[in-house]
Formats: sequence, structure tokens, C-alpha cells
Amino acid sequence: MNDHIVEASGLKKIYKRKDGTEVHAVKGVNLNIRKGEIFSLLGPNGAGKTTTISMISGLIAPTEGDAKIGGFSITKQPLEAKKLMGVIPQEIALYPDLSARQNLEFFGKMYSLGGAELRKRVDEVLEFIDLTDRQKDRINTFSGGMKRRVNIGVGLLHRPQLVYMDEPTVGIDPQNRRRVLDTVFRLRDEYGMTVLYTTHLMEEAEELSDRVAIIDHGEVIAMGTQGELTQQVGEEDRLVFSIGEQTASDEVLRQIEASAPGISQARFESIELKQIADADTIDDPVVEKRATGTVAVIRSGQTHDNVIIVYANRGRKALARIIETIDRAGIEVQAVEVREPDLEAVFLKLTGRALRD
Amino acid sequence: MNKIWAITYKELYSTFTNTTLLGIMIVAPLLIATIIALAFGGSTGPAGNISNLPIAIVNLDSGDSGSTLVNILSGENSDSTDDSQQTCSLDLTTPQTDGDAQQTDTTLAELFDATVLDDVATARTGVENGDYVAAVIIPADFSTALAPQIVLTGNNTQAQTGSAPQVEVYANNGNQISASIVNSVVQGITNSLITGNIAISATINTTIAQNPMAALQIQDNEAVNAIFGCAFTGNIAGITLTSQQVQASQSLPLTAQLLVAFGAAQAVFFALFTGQFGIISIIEERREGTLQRLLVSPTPRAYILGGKLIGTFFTSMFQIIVLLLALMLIASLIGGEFLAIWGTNIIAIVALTFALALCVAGLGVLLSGIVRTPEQMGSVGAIVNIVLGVAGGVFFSPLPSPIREMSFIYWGVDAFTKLSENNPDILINLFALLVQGTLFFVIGLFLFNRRVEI
Repeated sequence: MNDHIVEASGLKKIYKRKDGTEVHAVKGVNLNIRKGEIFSLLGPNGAGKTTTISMISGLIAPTEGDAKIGGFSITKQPLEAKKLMGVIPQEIALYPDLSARQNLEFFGKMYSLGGAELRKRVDEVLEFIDLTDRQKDRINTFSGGMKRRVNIGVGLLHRPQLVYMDEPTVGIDPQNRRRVLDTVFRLRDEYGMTVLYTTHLMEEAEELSDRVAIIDHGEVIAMGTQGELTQQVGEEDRLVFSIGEQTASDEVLRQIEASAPGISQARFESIELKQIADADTIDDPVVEKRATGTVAVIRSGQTHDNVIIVYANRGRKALARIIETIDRAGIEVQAVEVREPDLEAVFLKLTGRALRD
Repeated sequence: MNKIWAITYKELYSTFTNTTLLGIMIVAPLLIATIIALAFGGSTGPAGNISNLPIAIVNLDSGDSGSTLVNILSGENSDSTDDSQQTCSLDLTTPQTDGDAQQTDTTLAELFDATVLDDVATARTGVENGDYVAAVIIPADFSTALAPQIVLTGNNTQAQTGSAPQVEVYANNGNQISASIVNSVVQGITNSLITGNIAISATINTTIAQNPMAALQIQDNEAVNAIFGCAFTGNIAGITLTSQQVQASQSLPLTAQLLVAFGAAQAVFFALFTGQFGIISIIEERREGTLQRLLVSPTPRAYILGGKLIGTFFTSMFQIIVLLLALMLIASLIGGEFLAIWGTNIIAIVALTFALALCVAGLGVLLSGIVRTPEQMGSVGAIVNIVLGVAGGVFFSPLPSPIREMSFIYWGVDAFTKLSENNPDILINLFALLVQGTLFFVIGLFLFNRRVEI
């Protein structure tokens, strides 16, 4: 028995520019999404996530290939396939001059709902999105978070087997973001729906997904559970030793590599600190927000925050010996960070770029 | 079908809950039409009639009929003391009324301020310069063509009806209503004379048939023709010019006539914007993402477009009908009594409104298939509307044929004007409107369907 709700094979989308040249937005994507799972499509902006999903949902026609939704071809049986899908677009796609209830009723009719059944479904959805008391208010009087909830509600009205959510947390505050992520779990756990979720945020994909497909430059470069993907980069931990403005010679690095079994590589990186605008006016220590989003504490006047990076299997066990080796070399370790393999590392290894680049 | 109606209902709901839009749709054209009508027509009541329309008359005919026509138009005959003119003149001071024709006290002397000229070119130039609303040019063969010819061929003597005389009315389009009145008067007079001509011919033939000897007694063709010819000039034949055509044109006060002309034009003109606004909302929806949401639902693309079109069509029709009713109300208020300024042929009015709404919505589809953004529609639509308006007479004067016939506004306004005169002959107008509307739709749908490909 086929347990796949989505079977996409060889999906290609080629756009022609006015000068006759071609843009290959999607280059032969194959996807199989199982019923009842949360499946994330992870990739940087412009990777081809939305184009892929637009073809799967029937919004645009593929140049080549096809996708089946519940066994119905999206190109040959689009109406049957679309009945099984609920789409929650990234932007708020509602009629601002209609009330929440009118929006839900209108889109419900587009899914052939009507009469008492439609009213019942609308009531259920309003309760689900916690907007029953505001159902008669026009959308243009709602806050961003409330609009987002109605936007989600519209996609759930007809109880679809597959819900497609296109980066639904973009541009919303942490509280509403948490609500959206919880909703995704509820859809799977309470209603048995399959969720196809696109995101460029590694953390969201890691938290939500049963399985992940990583897409870049229009191609799926990896697909599987998080564990399966991280295995692709091995099981090495990444140990980061902050040593301030001190440096580590090649001799020290070779000593570190030999200090414990399972260490595959040790390297030195010199990170130049960028002076923050008000650095002269605040006392030691100076706080710098790194490009990666982490916050480091550095000393006043410090110009570099150098690190020794060590890749090792079972890195935590090697930690003591590595620190001892560094100490013997006369280098003071100011901070230590142990990073286990993650999707970021997978993407980095597969593409040579960080996911946020 | 439920999905189409759901989309249509949503469109209508959005339109009719938008008070700003409703204001622009209804109030603006009413204000413009009323202001123009009052400014150029004055707030005259039913008694207010057109008078002293400047016309030029050029009589190239040396016969009596030409002179008589000049006298009729210049209104000199009724006061004439000349015996020969007196016996062959028309009684214009007591017009007859029949049927629904409304009585009028206007005489042609009051109606026209006639100037008799010798030169056709001078008359035409005067019209073109706006000195005259029209020039009436009586051809050289007017009297000859008008009179029946008695042909003696032995026992086969017969009276032959003269050919219809071609009196030319050279009109100034800048004053369409006045020019129309002149044309109607001249047509009325010549038609009456031709009718008399035919009747007299029939009488002669009957007389000859009953008494063949009578033919032999007629020895002098010229004398007979002179006798009968005089009959066509008025009193002898008992022809009294009732000015039916004049009455039809004058059945409404001038302000109401202007409301008909400018009101109909403004109604159609503003409906153009409504039609484009309605259709362009689908492009707006694409930008807002709701169109994509519709497209990923199990709703055929044709339903989405169909629902939009029907909504726009109904809105346009509603707008035109409301404007027609409101203009009628305004005309009645100004006139002090109920005035059916659009005539009484309800079926024709509805058919005409339907055809116009088809054109309006069709043009909206066509433009939506051409432009890419609502902003482009704003600029391109405005240009197209103004061009159509200029050609069709929204801004006072329609351009010469065939340019004006390219604008469905012309056909619509012309039809409304006809209906206001209780002239039901609008089939050609309906045909022109339906053809244009259908063409707009077909081409527009083709282009638009390509545009909806996202």
C-alpha cells in the first residue's frame, strides 16, 4: 500500500527571459512525502522552495515532470488533487474588507462547502484559531498575528489531507511564531494531517520536521530525517576554544590532533573584531554581537577573538585532554563551545556556504 | 455554478460596501451632467423651447416650391400679403396635434433666425464657423422633382410621381441638437410635399381611368403641372405643417434634452471606469495573494474569471440604470413635472443598457489582458476612456464619422437620444454595441488568460 501523500518526480521549471536565455528555477526535483508526517523543505532564499511547492500545489505548471497528490496528478487531475490540499501562503492572502467569518465562508465555498456543513466548519476553525469573538470584525481591523491565524484557518477549513505552509513565521513576533509552530504539531498530532513546511530557518526545520529535504539552486541536495542527514557529515562534534588575542602555532595544532583518539582535525582561526559604535563609552567588558547572531564577551581594546576549532568523534570525551594540551602550550582558554552535528553543518558541507549566506 | 455566484457575490459586496466608490460611480456623473445641462440649457420648464436658431438658406431652385420652402423656413409666408404666396402657403401658426405628439406654440418664425444667402460656399463656411447651426441648400431641380409629371401618350396618359427632392442640410456637429431640429423640420416639410405629390398622382390616374376623355382634354402639360404643382405648396392641398419632427425634438425642455445627451454620455463614460476597476481587481488580487489562493483551490480558472466578469457586468448595468433614473428625476425636478426623458420603451432601454454593460465589462477585460499592474490600468485606462469619450461625444461634440463610430459611447448616446425622442430604431446601435462588446470580450479573454498564468 502506497503511504505517500505527495509523489513528485522530475519536476522542472524553466523561465525564459526576454533576451531568450533560460532560467532553470527548479532542476528535476523528486520528493516523496509520507502521510501524517511533517516534511520540511529547507533552503536559502531563492533556492527554489516556493517554485517547487507552487508546482506541487498546481499554481504553476511544471515545464517537465509531474506530482501526484493522494494519487491524483496535479497536471492531469488538478481539481481532484487540489481538494486534498490546504494552502497557507507566506503573505496574508485575505480580503481585508470582509470579516473573518466572511473570508472563511468565501474560501469554504471554493472547496464546495455549503449550508450547515460550511457554518459548522467555520465555527470549528474560528475556535481553533481562537478568534470566535472577533469573527464579525473586518480583517483590516485585525493585528498582524490575528490575520496570520485567519490565514492559517482558511487553509484548514476543508480538512485537507495535506497542508502546505510557506514560511509562515516570516516577519512575526516570537509569541505568534511559537503559536504557529504549535499549530503545526497540532495539525499532525490531533488531525492526522500531513504538513509540508518550507523554511530557510534551520532551527524551525530541526524542531518541527520528521523529515527534511535540503534544496539549493533548484535541486534537492539531501533528504531524510535529521539523523540521516547529519550522518552525511559524519558524527564528529565541533569543539571551539576561544583564546582571545593569543595565537596557536601549527606545532600546537599537531599536538592537539595527537592528544586524543578520534580527533580528525585541529585548525586555528583568527577573527577580527569589529569596533561597535559606542565601544569607547562603555566599561570592560565589551559586548559584540557577531554576524552569526551569538554574543561574545571580549575585553576592552581587544582587536581579535581567535579560536582553535577541533573536529572529533565523541568530542566531549576528548575535551579534557585538548584543554590540557593547549594549556601546556602556554595558551589560556577563555571559553569552550561543543557543537553537535546539525542541519547547518550539513548544508555547509554540501554547498560550502552557510544557510544564511 | 455556486462558486461563480460566490465570487460574483463577493465582488458585488465589496463594491457596494465601498461608499467612496459608489460616490464616484453615481454622484460624479450626475453632477457633471446636471451642471452642463443647467449651464447650457437654463432651468427652463416645459414651456421653455428652443428659439431663434440661426440657419442659412440657399435657394438654387428657380421654381415656386423652392421659394415656398424658403418662406416656410424663414416664417415669412404667414404674414405675406402677396396673393400668390397667400394661396400657396402653409399654415404654421396653428399646428395640429395627434396621438402622443405634444402641442407647441412655437412657429418656425420663432424657431429659426433664417438668413437667405446666394452662395453655397458662404453658407457652408458660416456653418463651419459656427455662425449658423445649419445651412439648408435647396437644389436647382427642387420644384421640378417635386411636381408630378403628366405624360400624354394617347390613351395611356399617366401621372408620374416626381423623384424625391434632395434638400441638403449642412449641419454643425458642435450643436447637434439644434442641427437635428433643422434637419427634422426640413425632412418634415419635404416629406409632406412628397406625400401630397403621390396623392395627387394617384388622383390623376384614377380620374383618367374613370374618364379616358379627360386625358384628351388635357392639352397643355405645363398648365396642368402648374395647377397641381401649386397644390403641393400648402393651402390648396390642405397641407398644414404640423411639424411632427420638430415637436418630437421639442417634446422635452432644452435642459432635459441636454441631460439626455450629456447624461447618457457621462453615464457610459463613468461606467467605463467602473468596468475597468472591477476587472482590474483580479490583478490586484494577484498582488495581494488572494488570486493564488483561489487558483490552488479546486475552482476552475474560468469560474474565477466568470465570477469577476459577471460581478463587473452587473455593477456596470446597475450604475447605468441608476444614473438613467437619477437623470430622469433631475430632469423632472427641473421641469416641474414628470418627464420620461429616456422614452417609454422599457425593453429597448434595458437591451441598450445590457449592450453597453457588455461593452464596458468587455473593454475592462481587454485592458486587463494588456496591462500588467493596476497602476498601468489607471493610466492606460484613463487614456482609452478619454479617447473613446472624445470620439463618442462625451466632451460636447462627437468626432466626424467614421471615427465616432469606433466609439461605443457614440452608439450608446445616439441610441439613448433616439429613445428619448420615442424613436425605437436602435437596432443598428444595439448591433454595433454587441459586436464591439463581444469582440472586446473574446480578445480580452484570450489575452487575460495568458496574463493569469503566474
